[in-house]
Amino acid sequence: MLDQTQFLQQVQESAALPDAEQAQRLCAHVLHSLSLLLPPDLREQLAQRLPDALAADMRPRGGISGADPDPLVDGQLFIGPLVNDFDTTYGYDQSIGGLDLVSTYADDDAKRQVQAVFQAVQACIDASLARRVEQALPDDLDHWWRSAQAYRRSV
Amino acid sequence: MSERNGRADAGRNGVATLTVQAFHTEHRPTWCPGCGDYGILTALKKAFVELGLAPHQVMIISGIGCGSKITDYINANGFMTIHGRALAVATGFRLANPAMPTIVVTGDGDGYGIGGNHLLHTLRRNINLTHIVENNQIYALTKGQYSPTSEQGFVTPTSPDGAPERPILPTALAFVGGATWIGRGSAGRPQQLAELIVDAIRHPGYALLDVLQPCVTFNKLNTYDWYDERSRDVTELAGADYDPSDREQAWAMVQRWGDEGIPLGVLYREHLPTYEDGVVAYKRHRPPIAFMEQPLSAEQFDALKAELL
Repeated sequence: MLDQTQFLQQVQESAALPDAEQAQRLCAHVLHSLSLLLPPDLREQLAQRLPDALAADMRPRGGISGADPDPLVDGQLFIGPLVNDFDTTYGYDQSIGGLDLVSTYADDDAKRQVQAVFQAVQACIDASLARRVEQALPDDLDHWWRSAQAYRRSV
Repeated sequence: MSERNGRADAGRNGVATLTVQAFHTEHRPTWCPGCGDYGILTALKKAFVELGLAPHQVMIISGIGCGSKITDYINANGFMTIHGRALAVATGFRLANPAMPTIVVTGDGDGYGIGGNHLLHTLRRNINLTHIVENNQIYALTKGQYSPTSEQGFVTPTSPDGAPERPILPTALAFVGGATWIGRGSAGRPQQLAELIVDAIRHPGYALLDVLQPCVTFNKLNTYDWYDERSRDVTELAGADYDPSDREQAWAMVQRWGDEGIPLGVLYREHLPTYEDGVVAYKRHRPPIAFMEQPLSAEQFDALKAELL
């Protein structure tokens, strides 16, 4: 079990973020996206194992955060709120107008950052709960969860 | 349409065993990671399966824009047209083949801006089309200019001092224009979106489905979180007894937007004769082209095709 400072510190280091504020924003995005994929009982069990301030991101906010998981949410929708927060444009395109985009390459960054949070979450829960979370994740995300575990073991 | 996954799979599997796999293509979307268009693509495939529509039994007609590339990413009949003209092409297609469910996919700039005039006349015609508008409140494919649904004051390369105009509210525009089915979904809620697409396709007449679709790259205002905080089921905002066929209740909901809550669901539904019902030529002397005896045999058609390709 990590306290909030340890949790954010671990995320900041793993995701190579410049400060704790960005680590906190990353955690908020990932935990909220995770909450949309988990059934209510599992979501609550996981929230109880997290530091209080972070657990709040696992609980329904109203609106989109319904009681039941949406079975059609996949990895792309999972990372959407996170990529929304990325710096996705570079500068003014002098040739045809508009802004040059760099988000095309954001999937590697998104994966690395999501796994940094997964890794910290896994440090707060036992293997049985980790397996249940993995089973609740869509196919294109469960290996991110598994490889975050492997990374944790190798550190 | 790919023979490998399309007609062949549909014919082999039949409707009873149709799965979303039948709609997969080998093309990897070029959308930005996390784009809301992924949720719309997933919901559309799911809706086709729910309706038992095999890839060869449905037509998708799109315009130009990030989301309009959907015809490349779904294994079904598809026609990517030109900017703003998808509704016009779809109208022609429907008249030629009124038996095939036809989905029109455009963005907000394409559907409400460039194609605004076509929208007005499609609304009043009530032709049997399901129009899905991927409304990300920006021109994304052209790299970030403000669109007809961008918020007033929205700063972009084409509005460095903020967009001067007030935005279009598509649901209200559709209501006064005569749409007989109006709904709103969210790319972030694909399950509900799939249900709305099913309802829209079943509706006899024109159905406008406005979809909140975050552009992760160019729109840093109307984000997943922005929509998340404001989106509510229409029954939550209007009450559990909300009746989309009640014009007075519907008028209140189609005008609702922003911090006071954005309603999701079927906002309005009315049953009126469709445009196809009124095409006199069908009844008097000419069936739709798709039902006519074709002047060429299959062999002659293949020979002509080979000559031209």
